[in-house]
Amino acid sequence: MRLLKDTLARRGMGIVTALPGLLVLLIVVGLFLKSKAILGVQPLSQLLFSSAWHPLKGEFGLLPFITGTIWVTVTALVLAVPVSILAAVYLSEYAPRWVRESAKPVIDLLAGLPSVVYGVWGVILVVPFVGNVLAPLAGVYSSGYSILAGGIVLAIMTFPTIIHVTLEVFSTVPAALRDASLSLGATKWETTRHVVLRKGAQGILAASVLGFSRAFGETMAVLMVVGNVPLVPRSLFDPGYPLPALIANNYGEMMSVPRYDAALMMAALVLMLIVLFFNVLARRTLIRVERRVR
Amino acid sequence: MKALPGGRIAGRKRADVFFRVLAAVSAAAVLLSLLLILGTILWKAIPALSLSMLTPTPKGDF
Repeated sequence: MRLLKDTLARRGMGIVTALPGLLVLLIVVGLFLKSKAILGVQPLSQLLFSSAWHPLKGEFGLLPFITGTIWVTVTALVLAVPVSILAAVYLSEYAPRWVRESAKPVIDLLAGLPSVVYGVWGVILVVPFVGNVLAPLAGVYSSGYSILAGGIVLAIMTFPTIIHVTLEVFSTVPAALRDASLSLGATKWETTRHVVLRKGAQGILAASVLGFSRAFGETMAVLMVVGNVPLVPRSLFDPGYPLPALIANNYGEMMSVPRYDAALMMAALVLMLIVLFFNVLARRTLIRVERRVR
Repeated sequence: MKALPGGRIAGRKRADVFFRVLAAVSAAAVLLSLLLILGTILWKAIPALSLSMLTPTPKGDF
């Protein structure tokens, strides 16, 4: 009886563990089946690399949306990763206990804000700041609704994710290692650089990937500040149109246009595959870093 | 002429102070961004808040 229970429990847990993976597969297959109709009319290469987006003429080039997504995400990460890691270094290594204890709930609060609030804030503050201050400083014209505005808002949204995970990683570094480094005459920064950051490198990478995943799929806040113009952006001050915004903006009104739904499903599939690709890439990098550190 | 060890120590200390300040500024920027978001939303919202906005049921005619 006990053996039977043990086997049942093992199999049951195995099935439950396999379910999330199966769900991902199911979503990919579902999206593929739904987007098959567009592949019959337009080849995949044309869908991915054409910038002609004219649904009424039956042209569904996804390039402006793919590049828009990449521009916004990369801008957000370039802004967010160094600041978040340095903030985590300060809170973990330098800050007095009371600062650390009071900063953590504040960062949690930042994580808990609904994305639409970030979007509203972006429209009120970031868009005018980009349009009236940063663009003239760079010597270009911009309405403010731009890749940069999206990147700034998204960077602030990813701060809590990256800081939280990085702080957790830093807390796992044994105090003895820090003490050994300090006792050898290293300064606090040298200890942080050579011990804490080195030991936590893989965790920091994981934190950045989590931030990337958050940024890549973010819809509402970005949609409100990025401009939503289906053109390939050439600079940070150009408007863009990321894939999630495309799907959110158009899903309700696609029924009257033939193959529009299939094109949007294809956009969702592309979004999902890009996120999966980067997650797998990050996982492989993590394994490689782990091996090297050992 | 070779730099004296004292100069090297001073350089390391300068780097330590520089990164301490940089890290503190980064942490402040993160916390400030939250204050800025909350501040902006409250600044814009508080003048529009009233009991009459919350209590009656909408009658249409928007």
